[in-house]
Amino acid sequence: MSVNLLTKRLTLDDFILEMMRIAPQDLNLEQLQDLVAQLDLNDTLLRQHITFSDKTYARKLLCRTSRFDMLVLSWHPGQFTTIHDHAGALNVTRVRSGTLTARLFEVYDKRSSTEQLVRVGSEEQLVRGELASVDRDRIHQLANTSDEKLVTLHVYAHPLSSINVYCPNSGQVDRVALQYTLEQ
Amino acid sequence: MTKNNLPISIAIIGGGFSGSIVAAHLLINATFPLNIKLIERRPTFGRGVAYGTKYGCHLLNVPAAKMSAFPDDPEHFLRWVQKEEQSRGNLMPSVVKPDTFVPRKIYGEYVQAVLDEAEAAAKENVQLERIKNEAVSISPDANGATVSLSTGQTLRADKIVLALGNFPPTDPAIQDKSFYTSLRYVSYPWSPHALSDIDPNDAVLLIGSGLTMLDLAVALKEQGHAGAIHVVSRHGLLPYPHKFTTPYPAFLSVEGAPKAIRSLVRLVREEVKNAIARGYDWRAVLDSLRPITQQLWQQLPLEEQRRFLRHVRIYWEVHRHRVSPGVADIVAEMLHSEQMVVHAGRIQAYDEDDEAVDVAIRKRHTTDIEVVRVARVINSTGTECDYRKFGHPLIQNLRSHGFIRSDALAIGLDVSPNGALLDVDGVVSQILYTLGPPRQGRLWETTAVPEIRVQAQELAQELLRSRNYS
Repeated sequence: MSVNLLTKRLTLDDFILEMMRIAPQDLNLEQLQDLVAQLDLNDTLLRQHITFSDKTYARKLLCRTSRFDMLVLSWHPGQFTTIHDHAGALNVTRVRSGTLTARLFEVYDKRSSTEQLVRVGSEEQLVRGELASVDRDRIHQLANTSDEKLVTLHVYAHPLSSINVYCPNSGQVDRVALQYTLEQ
Repeated sequence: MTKNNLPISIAIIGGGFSGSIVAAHLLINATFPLNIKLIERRPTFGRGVAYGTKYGCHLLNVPAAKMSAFPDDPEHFLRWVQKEEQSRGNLMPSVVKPDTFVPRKIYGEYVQAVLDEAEAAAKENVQLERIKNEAVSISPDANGATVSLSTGQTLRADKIVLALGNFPPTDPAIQDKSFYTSLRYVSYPWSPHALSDIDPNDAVLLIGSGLTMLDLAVALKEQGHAGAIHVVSRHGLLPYPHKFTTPYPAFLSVEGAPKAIRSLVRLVREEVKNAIARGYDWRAVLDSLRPITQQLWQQLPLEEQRRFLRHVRIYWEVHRHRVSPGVADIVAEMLHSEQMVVHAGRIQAYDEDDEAVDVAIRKRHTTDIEVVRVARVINSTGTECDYRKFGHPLIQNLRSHGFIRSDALAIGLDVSPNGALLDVDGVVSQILYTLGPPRQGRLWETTAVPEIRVQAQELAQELLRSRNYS
């Protein structure tokens, strides 16, 4: 693996090249974890995408290639995502600063493809440098349940065009299309 | 009668000291079916931010004899801690006396024990439900309110207590904020990583010079830090140490006190001068004001309260919120050896490179710029209390629906005397209550255990009194 030996970290350029080496259908979660774990968390480009919003967590698209999306999310204490899966994409999230709460959900009552009741299966707290990984069909939720701001780096492979959002009360599953601009 | 003979339900949002002690009073005193839902987002109940520290060197800033959770039983904590002292090994002082400053993490265990004991002693139909989750919105209606949690579940409650505690500090204002995205900058002083990965010989800058800064400094010392510790704050004033003193007789009545801050300060200063001449310590003079501080505050006109915040607050805080003698000794030694250097001034700019960051500080009352080069900058400016600045979803939700409003000074929330929150139109809520730091605008003195324990007791009584909620 062509890692920058001086810093022992992957630059974004390196990361893109490494991702291009692996055929999308061959990419597995462990490989993606290995690569994301080596990204330089003090990268200037990454820092430029850190921004906080009072309305909800801020989501900035840092890079999109044919193989993956890379986003920077900035969270005030208390902010959280929906309960969702990534419609077939792999996802690895790395904590840059703060503490991330990552919850994996399980379906306990599958009434149909659009009506599934879910509940929390596991929850973990992740700190700087640690990874939260979500396989292609897993349902999860991320949250900042700490008292400090949180910044996380997210890689989705393949690029995300939509996600499925699960309502924990009604069981309804909604396909939600995602659209990004570089400044979103 | 309760409505439909169902238990009354009270949700307490926040399971730190304030929330846990309200819950304990409800458990002990409820004489009718009651369901208490204590909602805490942290892994443990009872600790909050204040008592969640991992460092044994972080001591209470109030002696053991004054830290009881119960105003009617002032020695409750002392008895508990003396019973526990044998089993604590090195963490606890070998003998805990009334004037001992106990580690804060021990106090966290005490709060947990108070809650556990109250739960065990509660009547069968009085139940506590500990909910490890985060409340993100509240929808009041005619019969109570629905609380939504971050995992999507909802719960119903007849009354809700917002036991929110303190909020994190905000980043100091500066023109170019880009340094605040650096890994060299720690925005939250209680972050588990605030002091990790620091080379013991590196220089560090702590912004703010109050009790939070002292906590960080002694924690650095505990982990063997040998490098310089720079401290910057506008005035460069550090909290004074506690000292045991002969109590000073009350010299001021609420009725006789000036209603202007300038006269009030002059009067207190003169009293201190006289007291010292008579052999008293200045601390005793200030402590004699404690029983009437809230009333003195409340009778000041708004403009005078503003004047206090602008000109007197910093001096009040270093004299009033004192530090334990043990911590003061460690810090005095750090100052004496010049490991700690205090700068009075404002940060003008940060200039970061691969090795460190140069921080330019404009010295107070001058145009001189001093540059300190450090490996890490930690924001220890203390808690933010302007609710308009909070991005927390629950606060956003309550504000955007007009269920809460800031007080006139924007140092807390607008509350009625019984702790009920006022909505955006000034209407007193029948459902939402608060205690502790959010009452600062009304009470000024409301962040320490001696004040909050009284509020917790009175709020529980208030909630139990209005049992017929329907």
